[in-house]
Amino acid sequence: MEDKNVKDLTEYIPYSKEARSFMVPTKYTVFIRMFIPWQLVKFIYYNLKMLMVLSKGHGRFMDT
Amino acid sequence: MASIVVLGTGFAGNTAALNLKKELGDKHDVIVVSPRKNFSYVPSLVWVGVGSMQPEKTQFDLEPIYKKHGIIFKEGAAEEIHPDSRDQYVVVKYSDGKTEQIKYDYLINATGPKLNYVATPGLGPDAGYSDSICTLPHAVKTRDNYLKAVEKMKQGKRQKFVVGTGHGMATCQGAAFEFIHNLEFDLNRRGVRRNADITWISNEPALGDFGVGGVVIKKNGNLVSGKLFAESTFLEKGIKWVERAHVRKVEEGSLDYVNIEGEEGKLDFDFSMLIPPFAGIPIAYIDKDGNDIKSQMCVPSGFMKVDADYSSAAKPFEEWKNSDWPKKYNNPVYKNIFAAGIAFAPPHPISKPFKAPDGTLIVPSPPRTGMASGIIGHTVALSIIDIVKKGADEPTQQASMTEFGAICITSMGKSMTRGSAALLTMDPVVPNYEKYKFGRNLNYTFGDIGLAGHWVKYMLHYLFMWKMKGKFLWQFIPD
Repeated sequence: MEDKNVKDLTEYIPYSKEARSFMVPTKYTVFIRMFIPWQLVKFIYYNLKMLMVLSKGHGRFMDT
Repeated sequence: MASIVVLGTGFAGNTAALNLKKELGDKHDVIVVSPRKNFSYVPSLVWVGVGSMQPEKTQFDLEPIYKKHGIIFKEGAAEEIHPDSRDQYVVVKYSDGKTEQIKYDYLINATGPKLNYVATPGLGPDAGYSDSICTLPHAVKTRDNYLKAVEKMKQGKRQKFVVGTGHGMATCQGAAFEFIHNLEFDLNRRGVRRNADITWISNEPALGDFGVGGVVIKKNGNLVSGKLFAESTFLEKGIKWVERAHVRKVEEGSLDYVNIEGEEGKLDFDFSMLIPPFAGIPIAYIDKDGNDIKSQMCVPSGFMKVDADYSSAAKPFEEWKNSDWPKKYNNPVYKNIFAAGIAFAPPHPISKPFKAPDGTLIVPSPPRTGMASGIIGHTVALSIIDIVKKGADEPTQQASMTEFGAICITSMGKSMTRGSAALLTMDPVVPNYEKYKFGRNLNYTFGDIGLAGHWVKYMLHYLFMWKMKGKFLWQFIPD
C-alpha cells in the first residue's frame, strides 16, 4: 500500500483499523442477489416500497 | 394573460414547463429559455462513460415536444434578469450574438449548475487531466479515454483508475459511486479486471454519506449504517478508498489531496473520473437603476436565494434545524422569481462539515438529484398555477427536503442477467433528528443490492424519458 490513507481489506489483519468494523457479502448473499426468481419477487417488492415513499410525496398545500 | 418564463430544461425546468402548460392552457404563455435544445437524462451517463449505453439513448430534442405542447422555446442563454422595473424581463443572448428581452410575470430559475472545474487546478476534461460524466460530451470523452485504457490492459499493461470527487465541497458522490462500480463491472466483463488497480477518493466524512449525512436502514433484524453497506461493496470488489479528502490539484497522471486530519497524499492514475464542485450559472441581476444586485439575490457560490434561513450557515452543525430549509422556493425580495432544482441555494450542507488544519473546508454539498429537482419544479409550477388561476397572494404549495423522501438507484453494472444496483429509499432527504432517533423514518428508509435493482434503474430510464418527452399519460408518472 503506497499511501496510509488508502483503505482496503485485501489482507485481513485482526485488530487493524480496517478490520474493526466491516461487512463482506457471503457466497450465498452474492448468489441470491443474482438469483432471478428471487429477484423477480424483489422487483415487485421494490416497486411497492418506492410507491410508499412516493405516496408520502410532495406538492402539499401550505399549512397556513 | 400571464407570461411564465422557465430558465433551463433539466428535470426541474422541464417538469415545471410541462405542468404549467397543461394547467394554464393557451390563455397564458409558458416560455422556456435554454442554450441547449436537448434534454439529457443525466442518471444514465454513468453507462455512457463506460461504453455500455449509446449516447443518443440518453437525450432527445425538446423543440418538437414543446411545439406539440404549445410551449414557446427560445434557444439562448439567459444573461441578465431585471426584476425591478415595471416590465420585468430576462435578457437572452442567442448563438448569433443577438439579444432579446423576454418579459415575464413569473420566472423560474432552473438553470442547473455551472461545473466549477477551475476550483481545483488541473481538474476537468477541457483544461485539465481528469474526466467527468456530468454532461453528455464529457461522458463520451470519458468513454473514449476509458476504452483506451482497456486496450492497454488487453495488451497486458496494468492501469490505475481513480474515481470520486475532485474538490472538498463537491457533490454527486452517488454518481461517482455508480461510475466506479460500473467501471469495475465492465472491466470484469471485458476480462481485464486483473490488470486494474481501482481507487475511490471522496470528500465524504465516511463512505456511504453521499452528501445526505449517511443513512441508517433496517436489515435482517438489525439497524445498520449505510457506511457498512458502501464499504462492503468496495471490499467485495477489491476497490481501495480514500475518504475525507480534498483534492488540491490534478496533474497529468496524478492528484494531490489533503484530508481532514491534515495528512497529505498523492494518487497516481492512468485514468481518472472526478466530479467537480458546482456553482450557480452566471446570470447578472440588474435593478431599476442599473446596479448589479447579484449579492442580494444569490449566495457567494451563485445559487439563488429562496425562502431558506441563510443565517443558519454560520451556526455549528449541532444547531442546524429543519426549518432552515426552503419550502416555497421563491426569492424573499422578488417573490415572483422562483428557483428550482440545483439552482436554489441550500441554507447549509446536510453532512457535518470538517476542516483540514489549514482551514480547507471538506464537506459534501447537498445533492439535488433528478427526483428532488422534479418534485421542486412540479411544486413551484403548482404554486404559480394557483396564483395565476385562483389569484392566490403567495405560493400555495410546499416541498421541503426535510419532509419529502427520495429514491436513489445506484447502478453497479448494466446487464439484464448479471447486472446489479443498490436501491436506496430515504425519508426524508434531510435527516430530522428532532423527529426520528436515526434521522429518518425507518419504515420508508430502505436499502438493498441485487439484480432487481438494475431492472428498476433500467425501467426508470425509459419511464422518465417518456415523461420528459411529455408523451401519452406522462402526467401520471411520479416526479
